[in-house]
Amino acid sequence: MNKNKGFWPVIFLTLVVIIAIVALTLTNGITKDKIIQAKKQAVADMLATLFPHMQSFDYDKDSGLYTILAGGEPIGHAFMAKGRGYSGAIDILVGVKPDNKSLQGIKIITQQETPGLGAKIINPSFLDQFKGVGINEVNLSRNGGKIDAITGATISSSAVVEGVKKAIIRELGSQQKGGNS
Amino acid sequence: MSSFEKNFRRGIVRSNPTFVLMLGLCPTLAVSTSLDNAIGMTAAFVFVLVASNILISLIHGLVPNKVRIPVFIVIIATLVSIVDLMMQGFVPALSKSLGIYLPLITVNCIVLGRAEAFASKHGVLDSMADALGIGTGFGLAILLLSFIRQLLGTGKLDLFGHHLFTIPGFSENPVSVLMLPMGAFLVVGTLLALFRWMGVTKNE
Amino acid sequence: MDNKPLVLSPSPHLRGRNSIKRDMYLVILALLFPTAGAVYFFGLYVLLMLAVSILSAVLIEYGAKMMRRRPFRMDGSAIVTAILFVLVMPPRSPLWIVVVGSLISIAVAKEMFGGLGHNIFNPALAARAFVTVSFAGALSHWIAPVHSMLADGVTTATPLSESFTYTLSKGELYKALFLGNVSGSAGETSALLILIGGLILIAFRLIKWQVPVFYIGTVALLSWVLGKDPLFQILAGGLFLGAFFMAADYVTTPLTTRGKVIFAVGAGVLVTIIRIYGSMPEGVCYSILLMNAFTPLIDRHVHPRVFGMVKRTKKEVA
Repeated sequence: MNKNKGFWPVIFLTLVVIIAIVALTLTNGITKDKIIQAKKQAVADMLATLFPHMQSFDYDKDSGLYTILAGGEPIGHAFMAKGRGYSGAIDILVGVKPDNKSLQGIKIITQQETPGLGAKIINPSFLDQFKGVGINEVNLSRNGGKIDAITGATISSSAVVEGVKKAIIRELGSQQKGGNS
Repeated sequence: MSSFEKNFRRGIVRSNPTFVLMLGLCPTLAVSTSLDNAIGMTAAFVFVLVASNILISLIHGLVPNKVRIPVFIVIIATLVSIVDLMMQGFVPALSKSLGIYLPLITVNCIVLGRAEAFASKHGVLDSMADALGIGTGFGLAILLLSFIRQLLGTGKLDLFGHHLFTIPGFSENPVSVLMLPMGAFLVVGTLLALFRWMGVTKNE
Repeated sequence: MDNKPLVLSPSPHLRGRNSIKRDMYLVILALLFPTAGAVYFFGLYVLLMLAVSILSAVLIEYGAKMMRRRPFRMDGSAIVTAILFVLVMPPRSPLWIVVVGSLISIAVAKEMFGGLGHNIFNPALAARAFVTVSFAGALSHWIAPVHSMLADGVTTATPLSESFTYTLSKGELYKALFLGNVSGSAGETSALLILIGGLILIAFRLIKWQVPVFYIGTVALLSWVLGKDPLFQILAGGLFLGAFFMAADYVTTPLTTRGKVIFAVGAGVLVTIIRIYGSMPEGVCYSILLMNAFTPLIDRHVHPRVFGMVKRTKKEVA
């Protein structure tokens, strides 16, 4: 039989595809639970950086609000914020205390700011300023808030602040639109 | 020298995929920002290359010429998907930092190139040697690149979360452009020129 | 160079007085005006930067020529690049960054591409872009003019940056910008001194007047159309320095006058777009580098008239 004649190429390709499907189905079976678990673990690790005493968390898909639990009691909430930085989006995790009145802290998840300048937004000296700040006080100090901008990186600093502010208004709906930056 | 050894050695220097053939530069440039990424990428790449070369050399007598390329691509894509799923499940951090470049091994021209140019014409053992050699050449190149970029671009070396060392005084003002895509081109170009100048590699 | 090699070349064998060496020293002469301004406005430290830059550039050029096994000639081009590099840097740049700049401009941007005449990008600007991206933190320190040789600078904002404010009247602001009494890169602030240097270049026919005129004109026109103050836009920042000393460089710009005009207009459009819509305050450096990349394309489509040929009319073509 000539391997290039008739239906053999079609049959051969079909066979290869069937074997590939079987192999992938098997792999998927092995890794499926692991991947879900890994994703959940990644979220838990991310939340735990803001809430060290966290034991478990709930996630509300509609509002995007995480509720952090310890011993069955909520110890805070968290949600994602997005800032428009100097070179692309800045993803920020915002944690608030259980009374939703002040911040637990924030964490930068992804950023592409200028190394050595805007990228200083990931430094604790900048991020620690957000700890315990009232949700109405999140603003750059030049706009009457409590956050000092990084010297030479005003755009990146205000991107973070504006992103957090916007997310607070969206999730908690309470901060009055303040500041004129 | 046995043919196994000959086929293995060829890929490391004489037809090094990065510095001589200049193939598969896209993932090489993109993920060589840290040693962790380079090691993860090399592991995934060598697995896919060796497995696809072995499988293709096993069936090369049966493959109809007309559907040759689709068959190779299906095999390679399946192997890549397996690696991708495994990495997502067992080393999620690495999978996240390699990002899109892991699935893109599917269309990496080195893998398809070796399947087409070597594995589909040679026996299993020779194909395996070829894949290992090319894989080693790729791995050494990407490790060298990521070593230079990480060291000069951040002023310090980290390996899987362990801090190895910091260059004193330098880490405050590292050459951070090397961590950007432009820096990848600069380092590759400079190394290419350096290897030619030293006579290590020759233009084929 | 006593042992001159025997040179065989095609006709015509006419020899002009022009040589690379003479041209380069004329450019250095023209550069002395903005350089003197830089020292006057920002103090002796600029002189130190210049010394480090020139010395390192010449040494690096020597080393690169040795590596490439090519003869080293002191043709002055490395000095021109070194001076230009200092003039586009913030006036209190760390000296080690100046050395890195020489390394990038001479070794990477010039010698790696094949030496003088083969470089695609303006070496001084390529180095400026490299250090800007790499050491943004160390180079974000801008000072107000000091008018004294040794005084420390007071940090202030450059005219084009978002946080720039002024207490002067409009007319006084223009005067300060024209004379150079504002913050900025070492040699870019004084439009007047750059203009004097530029006129020397035009007088000795080293550059075509069309390049600065079309470059600056495009920026003025486009800024005006987009509702910005055109006079402020052309006087602030590095536009004059770029227009006379970088956009008119022979190696990295098109050969024909028509090509040069296309280059100048393109760069002008880019400057305005970067300044108004970009996230960077100034765009002169990137505008010229981007147009450098387009130079081969412009040269391919804008042919010089072949010597002795009569321009073909449309009829003949058809």
